[in-house]
Amino acid sequence: MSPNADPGYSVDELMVAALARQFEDSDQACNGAASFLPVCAIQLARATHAPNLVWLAGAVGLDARPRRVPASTLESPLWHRSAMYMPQFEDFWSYVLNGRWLTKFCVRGAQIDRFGNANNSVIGSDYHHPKVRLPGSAGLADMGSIGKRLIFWTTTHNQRTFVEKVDFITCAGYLGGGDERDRLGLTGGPEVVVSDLCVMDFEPQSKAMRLVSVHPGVSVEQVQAATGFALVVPENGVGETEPPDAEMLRLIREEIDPGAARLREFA
Amino acid sequence: MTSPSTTSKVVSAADAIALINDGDHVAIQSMGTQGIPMALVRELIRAGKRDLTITSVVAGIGIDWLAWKGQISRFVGPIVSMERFGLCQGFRAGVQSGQIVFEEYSETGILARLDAGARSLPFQITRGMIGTDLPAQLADTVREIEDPFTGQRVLACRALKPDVCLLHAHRADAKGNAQYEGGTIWPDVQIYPKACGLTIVTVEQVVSEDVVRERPFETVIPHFAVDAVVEAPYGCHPTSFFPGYVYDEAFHERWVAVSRDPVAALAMIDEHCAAADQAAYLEIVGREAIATVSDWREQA
Repeated sequence: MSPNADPGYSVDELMVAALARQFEDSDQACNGAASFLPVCAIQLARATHAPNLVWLAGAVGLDARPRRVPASTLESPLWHRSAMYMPQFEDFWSYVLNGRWLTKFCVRGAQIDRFGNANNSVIGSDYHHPKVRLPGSAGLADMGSIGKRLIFWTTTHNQRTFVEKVDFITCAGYLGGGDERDRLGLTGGPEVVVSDLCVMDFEPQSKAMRLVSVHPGVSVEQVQAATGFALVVPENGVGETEPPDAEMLRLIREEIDPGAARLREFA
Repeated sequence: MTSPSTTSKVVSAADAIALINDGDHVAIQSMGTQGIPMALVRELIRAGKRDLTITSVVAGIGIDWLAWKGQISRFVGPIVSMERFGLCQGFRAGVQSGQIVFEEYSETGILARLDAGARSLPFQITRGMIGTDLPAQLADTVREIEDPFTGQRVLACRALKPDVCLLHAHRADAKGNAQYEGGTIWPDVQIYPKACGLTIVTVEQVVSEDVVRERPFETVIPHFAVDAVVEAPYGCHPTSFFPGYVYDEAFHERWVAVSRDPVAALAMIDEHCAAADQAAYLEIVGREAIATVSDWREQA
């Protein structure tokens, strides 16, 4: 954001709006742990352009209606007034793996590289004696391999998050780029990256990360300096991320997340 | 290991944990801050069981305590995280120093191994993990094979049969019929009793068989698959047990504040494991904390 002018919204609200636009009316969405921005975005999409968007809150609560975004996105207060509690072994994974449903997932990694591979396992070159042991895959190592369309988000756009090559591939992106993913028989893959500085996608041939739009007040140079590899910059220029309108801001602030739980991702 | 031979399977936590040997593979119900049978975890600590291999779907504060006490040598599963309270620092230090091996799977990978174990299949397959760096670290348990019908590549995940599982249910009768209010959502509850050699269940309340028969649709684990029942009200505290109580936020925050410091971390663990039984534990925790986690619907 520009230090000079108050644009009337903050970066968390801009990111919620940008993530909300990734969901269509016919989609089904599910959120995982510590996923405050996706939870806000899914609810914003449901309240605006995608009223039929299905939501499995915390991978459990079908079309939940929480009174507010609680302090945890993987606990019962988020499942408030659900239409169904989804048993995770028999039902959740069957609906996910089937392929017809839940085709998009919001994912986050401690590291994301040029080709959209993500690492949530270890920092350092020795897997058995890592410099930092990260929490581990959970469902991440599934989502990159079972044909899902991946929407990355991160609130820390810097050279520690966006690296040339991840130390460990926990979530399969485009691997070494080009057609390497296709050659393994993998469908789907990373589509969009929403960060606190910009929105990115992947260049169709090389599968390298490409700048789509910078957030208002952010320059291309600033994004590039915060990225640990050379981003593809389209020849026809880079747009500006569309800010949330007044109604979206009202929904985020008053209806969806009055307690501003989303700011936990910026702590 | 032998099962208790009496008709009533209701035993003390100490007697239940006595069924576990050093070196056993123990599957523990756990979904981050949800549903960890902490009364049994504290008893594992009191009993000083060593060299344990732990499996959980999302391991949380329980594995952190066991790690700080030096009781585990291996974790077999997809993730160790206290969700909004962050990484488990004792566990993380143990892995970084090489004392604990983290045998990491995707969620479908570990569930496939347990499913194979449950059904006595040599392996179960998944399409997860293909293209990731995980299979290369799992040469003994995950191998790429071809679908004999299409030639497509899939991953065979070797059967896993842990020695024992620790679960928490809402109620059970003395025979061991274990009920969950409204059925259950947790994957570990659905698979562990079928895959593990021995099943130990703590419950909020031991009830009569008549009470069980009033709501047979809530019986998730049949009595013949249960080896020991331990009554432990608020047995998951400080984690949540839906729909009864939520996680104890203040308790987790106290743990986060001390859990990087060996002296302070062990002091907090030992203080809470000193209680001889669940009633004594709840005295240490205090009525106010229990009231707070119980009133979550008003706060939600």
